[in-house]
Amino acid sequence: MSSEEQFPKTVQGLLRRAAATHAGRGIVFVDEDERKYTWAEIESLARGIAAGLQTRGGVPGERVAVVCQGLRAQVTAFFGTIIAGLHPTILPTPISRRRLEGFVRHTSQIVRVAQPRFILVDEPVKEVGDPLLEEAGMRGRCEVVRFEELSANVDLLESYEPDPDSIAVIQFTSGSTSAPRGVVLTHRSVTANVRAIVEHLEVVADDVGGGWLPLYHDMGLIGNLLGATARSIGLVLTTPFNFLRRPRRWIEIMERQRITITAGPNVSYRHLLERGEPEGKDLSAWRVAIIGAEPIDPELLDEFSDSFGRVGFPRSAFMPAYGLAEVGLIVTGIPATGVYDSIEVDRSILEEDGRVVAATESRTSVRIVGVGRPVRETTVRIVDEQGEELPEGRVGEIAILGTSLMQGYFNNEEASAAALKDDWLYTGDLGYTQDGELYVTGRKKELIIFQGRNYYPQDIERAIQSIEIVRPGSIVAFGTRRDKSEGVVIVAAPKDARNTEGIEAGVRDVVADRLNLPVLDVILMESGRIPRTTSGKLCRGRCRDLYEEGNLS
Amino acid sequence: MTNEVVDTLCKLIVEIKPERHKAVRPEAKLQSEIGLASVEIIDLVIAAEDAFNIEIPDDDTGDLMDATVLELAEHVQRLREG
Repeated sequence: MSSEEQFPKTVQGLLRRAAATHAGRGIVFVDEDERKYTWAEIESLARGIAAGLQTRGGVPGERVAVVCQGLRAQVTAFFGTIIAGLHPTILPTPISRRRLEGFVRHTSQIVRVAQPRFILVDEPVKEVGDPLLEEAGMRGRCEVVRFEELSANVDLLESYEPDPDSIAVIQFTSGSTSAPRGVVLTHRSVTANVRAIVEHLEVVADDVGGGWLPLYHDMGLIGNLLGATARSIGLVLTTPFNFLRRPRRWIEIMERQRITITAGPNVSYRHLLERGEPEGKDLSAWRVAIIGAEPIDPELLDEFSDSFGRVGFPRSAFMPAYGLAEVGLIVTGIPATGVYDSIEVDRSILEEDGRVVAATESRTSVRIVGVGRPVRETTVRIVDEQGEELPEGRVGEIAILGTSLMQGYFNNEEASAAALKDDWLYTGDLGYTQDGELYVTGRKKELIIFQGRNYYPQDIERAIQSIEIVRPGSIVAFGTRRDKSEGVVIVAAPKDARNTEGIEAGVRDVVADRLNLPVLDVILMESGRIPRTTSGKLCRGRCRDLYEEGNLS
Repeated sequence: MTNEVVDTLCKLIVEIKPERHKAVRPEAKLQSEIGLASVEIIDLVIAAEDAFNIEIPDDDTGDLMDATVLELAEHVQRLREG
């Protein structure tokens, strides 16, 4: 493919090109009927949705919240919304009918920020539309529409060609409950990142993508769906639930459909390793397995490569990568044909001095996986607290410059100004470079990453405040990753030292219920003993260090 | 209710989450008390299907997210009795 090729500058441009060049390729929704919908069929269905949105009065610039369980519904609603000039936001769906209340409470926060004109629901989850609208306080300003009744005759469709610098998608970062942030991506930024992905992965016509990530996740939407659209390759999609529930079936599908490219966080490859049972299968078509979304576990890469190597998975398939929703998806990745590598560094010098020193046998060490160099039209630098660039081998905040940067967070000037300064995106992630390659070491902000999802400690602490016998303002939540166990630890002070019964159970209950997050450990201590800064603020990082040393009790 | 089912489930849970072995009791809730993540609960469902040679329907799996070990054992027992 020549570098002079005309790469579309809009999302509908990507789909239009896929529809014109598909040669029989398309999307297979394995949970539905396993029939293939060619890219031309997908476009035609999407145009019907677009016409339906227009005939219902939707006008360019308005938002559409997509709450559909079916993947074909999600995909066609996503493209249809964009074709009509509205901005889609795909939201999760409830996993259990018994827990609708928690789902509605959580998801309505996103609806409240997105202020959509329509909430699209499909048959399996039709009962959540009205509660979402009510809870978000949008009655009278937003309409719940059934996906199955939306499509209209495409002859009614008024064509709309957006400016490449206008908004395409609003992608909500997952996990946060109190103040969800909607990442605003323009057509130019989305297509720039999608182009970077397909060129970096060296995607060719006979590649087949296999996706198990939700489409409300950047890897699912930008990587799997739009990456496949950009080269009109075959794409096989399953839901996260079905992937987790039937890992052996997914391995069979990978063999049968000759899937060549996958993407996911540690936990998904760990799941296939432990439950996939690939013996006797032929997975030699698999050539790229992107791994990212949280610090990459080098032992997992080794174990998986050894085990799946026996069924044809090449060691060079793993592609450790770094990215975030604020740039669409990808920032760096190792080359498509390269083999992953890691460096063993001295853990205490890294954490205390922010310097990278090769580990010596006598000291504790940590293995860090290299996540490669920046993709096209993307620049990475490591900066100190003052924003000054640091030399190689020094740990600092990862900052990014490039065409695919977000416009900002939707209706949130404060958060946008904190993240974007002088055209650079300050990620809040910590890392260093060595020989031009990026190594990610952790988070500057105290964001907790658990199984690929992001959680703000403040949200967890706020949820715990609702427990009567806990002292408000004396609650600390932090994430830990020690040895094999990872999870969230809570430190809390009882209101009355004589009345502590039920606090631990209450904490676990409320965090599970409100955030769908399990708690690893609950530590009760007097308020005065919880580590604080000199100004009296709770010190989450210090709590974590003490906990990991075994000195917090 | 057979103790055998409860014992086997407890063993499977400890295999999935060894660091929480002290919290594994028949009355403990899988997510909020034992601390299993949703992925790990699905792991447990798959392991239980293999161990007891049964099939747990998808609709039930969603509901089991908030169950206790005992409730899961009762569910398994019903499926075993067909």
